[in-house]
Amino acid sequence: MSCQFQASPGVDAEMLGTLLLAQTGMQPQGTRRIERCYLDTFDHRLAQAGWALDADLQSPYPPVVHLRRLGTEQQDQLHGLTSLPARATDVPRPRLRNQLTKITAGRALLPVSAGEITVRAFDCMDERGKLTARFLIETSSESPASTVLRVQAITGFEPVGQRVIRAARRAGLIKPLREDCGLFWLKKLGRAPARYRPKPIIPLRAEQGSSRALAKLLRAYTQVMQTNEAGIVADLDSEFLHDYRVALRSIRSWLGALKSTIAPDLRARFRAELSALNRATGELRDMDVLGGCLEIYLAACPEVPPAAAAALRHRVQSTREAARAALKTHLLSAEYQSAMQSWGEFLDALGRGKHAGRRGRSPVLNTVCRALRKRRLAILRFDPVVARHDPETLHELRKDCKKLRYLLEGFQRLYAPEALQRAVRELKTLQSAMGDTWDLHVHHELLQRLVQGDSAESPPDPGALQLLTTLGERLGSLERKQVALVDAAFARFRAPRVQRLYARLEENRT
Amino acid sequence: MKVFATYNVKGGVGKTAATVNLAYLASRAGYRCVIWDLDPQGAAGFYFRIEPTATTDPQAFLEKKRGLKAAVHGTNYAGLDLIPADLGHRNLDIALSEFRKPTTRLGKLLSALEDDYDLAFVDCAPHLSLVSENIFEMADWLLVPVIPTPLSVRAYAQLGEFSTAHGLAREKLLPFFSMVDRRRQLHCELITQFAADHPEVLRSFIPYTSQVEKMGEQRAPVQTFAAGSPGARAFYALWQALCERIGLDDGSHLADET
Repeated sequence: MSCQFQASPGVDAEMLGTLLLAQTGMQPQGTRRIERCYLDTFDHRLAQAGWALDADLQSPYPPVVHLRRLGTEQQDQLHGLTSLPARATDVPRPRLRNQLTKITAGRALLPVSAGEITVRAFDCMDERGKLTARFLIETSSESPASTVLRVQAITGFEPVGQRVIRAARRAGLIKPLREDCGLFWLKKLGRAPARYRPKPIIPLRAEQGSSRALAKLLRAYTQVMQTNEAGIVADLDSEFLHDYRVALRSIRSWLGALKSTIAPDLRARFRAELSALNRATGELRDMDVLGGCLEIYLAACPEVPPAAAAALRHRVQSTREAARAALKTHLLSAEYQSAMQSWGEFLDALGRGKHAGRRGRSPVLNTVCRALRKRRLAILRFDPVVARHDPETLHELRKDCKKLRYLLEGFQRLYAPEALQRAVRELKTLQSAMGDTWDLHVHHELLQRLVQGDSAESPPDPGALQLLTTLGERLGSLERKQVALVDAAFARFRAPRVQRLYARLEENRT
Repeated sequence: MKVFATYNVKGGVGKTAATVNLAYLASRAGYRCVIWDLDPQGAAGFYFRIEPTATTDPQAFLEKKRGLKAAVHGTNYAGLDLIPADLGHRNLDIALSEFRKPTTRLGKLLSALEDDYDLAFVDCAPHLSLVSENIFEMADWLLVPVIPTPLSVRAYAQLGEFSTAHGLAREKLLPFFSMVDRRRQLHCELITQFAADHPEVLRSFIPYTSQVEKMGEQRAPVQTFAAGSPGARAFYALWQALCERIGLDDGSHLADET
């Protein structure tokens, strides 16, 4: 059991210390300064799931890592860690490891924020010298007005800690701390982790000018890209790049869908620059996804010799590393920084009403409704018969679906939530039917390229060729099955019921 | 959760001292450990300044699977908890015999702690009984302290025979020498002979030292008050030998090791 309290206004650490020392059997254990480091995934999955993971760092000792369930007194100390856990899989206790793995979905645990805390410890001993409770008074020189009292009750001796707390509360010295003590300190030190949303929801008004509304949206998604840059450069987690690319794709898609709202020359310039950025990030993302699936593919092809599998793994890894180095150089280059600065200045100007295109001042709802209709009709023009033989056609449909989805999600505040959710749900069904087939197709091409790249220097490895053949066969059979699913999903999307739903959105009859 | 039981038919061989010190070292190595004191004398609890719990009806104790969790007490050391002895445990054999599967009951009780601990150390009373069979069933390894005397060596032989007679896995037995006085020729001869006859013996022994005896006075593991003493070093060497034998990380890479 552990519980935490905040000192009442006007009460400082000295007064709390005096109260504790007045209790029978209380022994001061000294004062130490620690660096309290707060860990979470880059998108704060632990905090969202109601968990707090923090580490007390005091050189030269190993970190003392605690996992707490927010809003409860449940706290687990993770013993046996010699360094900060980089992923949930580093957590030594199976139950907690599984729980954390589920929450973090394999994402890296990052030191999100840190601050220096001074801790005074007091041990309460009974007449036999048995430790019955431990009290910690936490202060920080950066926030002198704040003091926290934490109680670590010892299992089987809980009433001792409760007795002292009752006395302190009766004396009006403390009140319960409603939030997690780790977050409390970070807030007090002005280092609370910023709230992060990979897809920010932007408040928009229907009658707002299109170019200003678009500028707002583009600025928010540019912010998402910039938030993820450091994580990509440090290669902490592949999800940084994923979110970066989703934001980038969304921006490119909106620039295309609402093109008449921006001056044509500037639109053309930035679209070209953003396309180049998309290409620069593509190789690493492909390798990340392929790296994630490679073991599954190899497991499905047990006949591939281990040496060939190892060579392929190495090839994928080295290609990924090269792609990462190239992207890192690009993101740190003066050229990229300057491009992003120009883009930011352009967005600021667009937000002030400059650089607007011919429909820049039209109400945003009208512009978006028109764009929605255009995207939907593009999807309806898709011919499922052609897709049976041509994966590229399927890919075009995927892209059209993504563009429609970005429009719906980006401008969601213009529509009634229920209708919008139903429309997105229908679209998702169609998208998920296509996703796996396309990934397999892309991976087959990538592996082919990697193996052929090897063959330029030496003859192709028979094992790798065998893997390619097996994968090709799997691709064929999966595609046949998948195209049937796409047919069904597409038929569902084309159904009058769904089309009426979209028509209502487009006509703003929500 | 891995379960170690410190067991010998013979009393006074250093079972409790071994349990307490090994569990302490395991907790320093980063494992969450619990000691289950099955000896009604309550010596393990005494070392940790925890009194035995009030006598409970053994039948009721054995029936409540979650009861063991409620009996856990924290020690003065992080990551190390204790289930204190209960005088009612002296009648455990009788109560166990009432169950349909009497030899697996204690293991079922201990499994309630599966999620909370990495290692469990069971300090057993010195006898051969139904409780012993339960211990053989639930323990992954039986740590058997052996004093290099003919009677103690004979007791180990009896334990081997008992395990064979009851179809229990003999490879679980991990004997080690305890209370060794190397000035005595008999001790040296018996150790050499025993090691030749029993390759399973752990290649580390606990000497007869006053610091280990002082555990009773200090009421703490020897590492906490005499870390550099021969006794403390011997227990650390035993912990390392044990980890090496069973493939466990001994935590020697941790900075705050003894």
